[in-house]
Amino acid sequence: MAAKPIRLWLGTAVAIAFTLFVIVFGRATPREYPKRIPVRFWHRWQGDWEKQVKKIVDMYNRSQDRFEVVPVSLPGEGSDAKFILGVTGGDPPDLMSMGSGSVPNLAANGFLSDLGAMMTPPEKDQFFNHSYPAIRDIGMFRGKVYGMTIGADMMALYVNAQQLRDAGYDPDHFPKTLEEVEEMGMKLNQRDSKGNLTRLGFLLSDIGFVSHLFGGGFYVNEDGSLKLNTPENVRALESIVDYRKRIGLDNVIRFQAGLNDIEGAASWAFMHGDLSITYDGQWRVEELRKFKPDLDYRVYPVPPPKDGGVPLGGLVGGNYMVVPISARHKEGAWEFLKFWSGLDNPDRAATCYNVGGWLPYSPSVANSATFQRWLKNDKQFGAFLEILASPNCKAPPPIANLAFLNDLIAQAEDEAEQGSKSPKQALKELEQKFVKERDKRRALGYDE
Amino acid sequence: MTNSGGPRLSTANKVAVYAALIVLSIPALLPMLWMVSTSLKTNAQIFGKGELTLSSLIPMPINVKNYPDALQNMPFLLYLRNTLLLCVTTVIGSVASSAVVAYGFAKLNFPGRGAMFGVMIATMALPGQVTMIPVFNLFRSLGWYDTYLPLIVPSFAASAYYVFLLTQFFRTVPTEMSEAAKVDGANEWTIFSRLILPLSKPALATCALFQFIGAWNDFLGPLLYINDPAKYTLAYGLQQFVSHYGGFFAQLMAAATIFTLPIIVLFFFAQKTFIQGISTTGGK
Amino acid sequence: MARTRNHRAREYLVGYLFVSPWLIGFLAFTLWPFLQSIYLSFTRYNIVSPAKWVGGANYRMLLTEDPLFWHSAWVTIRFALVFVPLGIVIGVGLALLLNVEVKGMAIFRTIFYLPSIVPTVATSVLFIWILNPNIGLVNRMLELIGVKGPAWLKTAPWAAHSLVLMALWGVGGSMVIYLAGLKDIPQYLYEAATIDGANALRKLRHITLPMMTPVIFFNLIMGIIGAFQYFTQAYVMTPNGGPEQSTYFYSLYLYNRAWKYVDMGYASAMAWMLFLVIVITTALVFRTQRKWVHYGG
Repeated sequence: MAAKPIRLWLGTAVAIAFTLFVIVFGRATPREYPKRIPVRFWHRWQGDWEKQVKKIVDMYNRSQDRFEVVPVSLPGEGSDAKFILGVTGGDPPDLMSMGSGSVPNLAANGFLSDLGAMMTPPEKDQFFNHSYPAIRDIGMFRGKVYGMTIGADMMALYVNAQQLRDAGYDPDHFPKTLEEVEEMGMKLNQRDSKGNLTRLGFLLSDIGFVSHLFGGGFYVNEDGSLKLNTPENVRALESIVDYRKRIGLDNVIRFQAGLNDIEGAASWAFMHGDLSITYDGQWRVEELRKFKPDLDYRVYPVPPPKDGGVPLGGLVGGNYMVVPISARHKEGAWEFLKFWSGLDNPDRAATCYNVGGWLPYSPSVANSATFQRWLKNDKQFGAFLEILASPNCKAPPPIANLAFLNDLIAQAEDEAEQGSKSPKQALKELEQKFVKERDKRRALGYDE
Repeated sequence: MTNSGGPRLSTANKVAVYAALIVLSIPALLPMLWMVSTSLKTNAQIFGKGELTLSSLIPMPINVKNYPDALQNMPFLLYLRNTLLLCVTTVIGSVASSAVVAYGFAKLNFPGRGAMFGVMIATMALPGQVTMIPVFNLFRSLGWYDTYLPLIVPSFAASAYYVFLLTQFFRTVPTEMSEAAKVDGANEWTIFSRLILPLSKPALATCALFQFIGAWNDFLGPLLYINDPAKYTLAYGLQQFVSHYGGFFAQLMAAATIFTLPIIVLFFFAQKTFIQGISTTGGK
Repeated sequence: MARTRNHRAREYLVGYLFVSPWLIGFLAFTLWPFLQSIYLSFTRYNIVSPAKWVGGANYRMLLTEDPLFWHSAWVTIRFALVFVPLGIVIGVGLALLLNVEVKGMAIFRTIFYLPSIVPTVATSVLFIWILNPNIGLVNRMLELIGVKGPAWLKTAPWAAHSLVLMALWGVGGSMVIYLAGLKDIPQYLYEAATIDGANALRKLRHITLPMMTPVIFFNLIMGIIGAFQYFTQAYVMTPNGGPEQSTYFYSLYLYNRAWKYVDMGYASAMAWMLFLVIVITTALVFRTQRKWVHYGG
């Protein structure tokens, strides 16, 4: 029994010593420029991307001496709640980077500042008349600008040149129709002895994007008319579903699950030859340059179907910066936003865009000397700029419940792929559900 | 001190028990082992295909680089300090207050007792998401935003979960014992502190352990109420490794292992309190 | 007469004093938010603008015009029906097993408790990985015995099963409570039973289990509440509601309504519906206490 008190004292002593140690050594990191006005910037980039964002922030802080941008990286889970609470709770960030889908909803609910009100007339002219139309439109709601991009996203096809050559194709002459690419894809598939896919030739996903190739698209017009359950969209969905059936849906699911979504940039499956032709975003170009510069690849816009398609179709998304209505240091936020987006200095901003391989908001940035120089090393990026400039490249509808619509679209695609509903049925129900929701919102007094 | 242990067994029975334990611990342990083994691998080893062999579990060669990398990606000591602060204060607060309240519900009579108990249970039934905003506004109007107060003070108001648990335990103590003490002239507080509490060590230790782990793992609380990165906790730091914008799988596993290790150690040593619980035979 | 009345008043006062920490906390931190959220459930509220009264419209629409409400309720109920009984049986069984006095038991207890203390963020990611159709641990092990495992989280019935299995894997948390309850059983009962010639099974049935009913009751209530509010894993692992929305739990739908679609009034109505269901269910279970829960006091 004597051992017990000794053990107790020893344990307590260790605990106290450890606590003291932690208190002494666990100190907070002080601010770099404590005398400046702080501008709080919340974003959702993690890991390696967070470092890139820090680079841009540091660039800005060094370039002037009034403000200090303090970046905070928020993990995805719970960040919606945190942002909303921050804004309503009276302690919001000054600037926040959001996914494009959230901007109309927040704008409609009065969370965001009108950025247009902070622009000088030349800046207004630059923004409204010289941006890529789709990019500009995403941040707009009811004629006002609430979000500005510092990195829009666009998808196209990445093509593994060597694998095409091995299969007898010429990677520099890419097919002009979707059907031809699908055939190529079937030939490029490789399986193992058990029939499981080991290499995927080609696969399209995301009906929201693909529908544009077919001349369709999911849209809600200003007058309230809907473009949801249209023949073009049905065709697009059928195309997605049927192609999966050809490869074998089960095979596709298994194979895709094996391509880590969890891992960071450095192990993108395309880099390792698991995908011959893949549909992915423009930020991959910079990643390829960093992590696999010797890969021989091409980028092509997704070709439209043989009939009824439109060339260079697509949907833009990406990261948009918003300034909460109750932000305390709006001026600092706006200055930083201009710095990064390049509204008043496109050439300097080109460096920022190139850090992340993002799409610029305007041709003025794309055509600047710095950007052009970078483009020489990332030639393939040019394909994206081509799509961005096309009139068939669109923005999602600026409706308040865009998030709801996007969820409905994803559900319809899932049900059609899994086979529990036919594409026609899935889209028909999508429109019905959306109409119901819209009527509900009207009845409850949400202004649409 | 009669130890209220389990049955004494014959050797054959012992072997059976061991066998059952070993078989059952495989599904329990395997994911954990996998977590640790993943944290010791490189990316190529994790995502490589191939047959499942023993080397899938124990990587050759062992790559410990993920651990320092993970630690570098967050201010570990700072977060540890903050987390410990929250854990210790909320453990003290919640166990003390919950024990007191539980005694009231379990052993004392007063009008409205049943109703209050019911209301308390009912408070657990409402999903926190819809009270988040009113609660948040409440704390903000108190000026507690961006402090630890919203996380610490409510723990002193007793947690329904622990009160419920402790009530169940207190009610198993025979009333004869408290009656006897009353005859000896003890008031309720004395009965509570000198009689009931010592008898309930296993239950109290359980609550303390749960609260510690709960505070250790609490991510949402700090996320919502704290803006100053210098005040964030380990749970928050861990969350940083999971994201669509560039999470690192192996580092996440390494960080998760580091994060869980102290709790494992704590539990291992705290078990003794459960085991050496004093029986309620009334042996004085 | 006066002395008895005084005495009783004193007794009541002491009772209130003991319960006061909770009472004060409730009145300060809980009651007002509760009342406010009830109010919000009768409004249209998008958080920044003032709430607008709409009467029972939210509730009406929830019940009559929202198939997702019924679907997510069903997903949740089905989960509860499977998980709660299984969790209790496994938890009690494990505790009984781990209560035996053999060497090294401390290690085993730790092993079984471990799953419930690993942070959810890590286990969710870990399980996504383990349940991977081609290269995940589970299917690779199944391959060794010649079975082709399903695409767990990406196929309709299996996604829901995976979540149940994951929840059962974490049953160690309740096991600890059962252990504490087992330790509380007075030894003299067992000794008396041995004298009466009872064997292990009879002891189990007539002493152990009855004496454990208070903690079983506790875990039953907590299990019901927890199952009905199940959210985090579904949110992290299947944020879109899973394949064919088979894991679109009620709380996940609530979360989307509240934070994604910023429809706080509607979400509050959803929350209070859930509250009603939980309260009614637990009240019913409380009623049955007298029949099967055995308090020593």
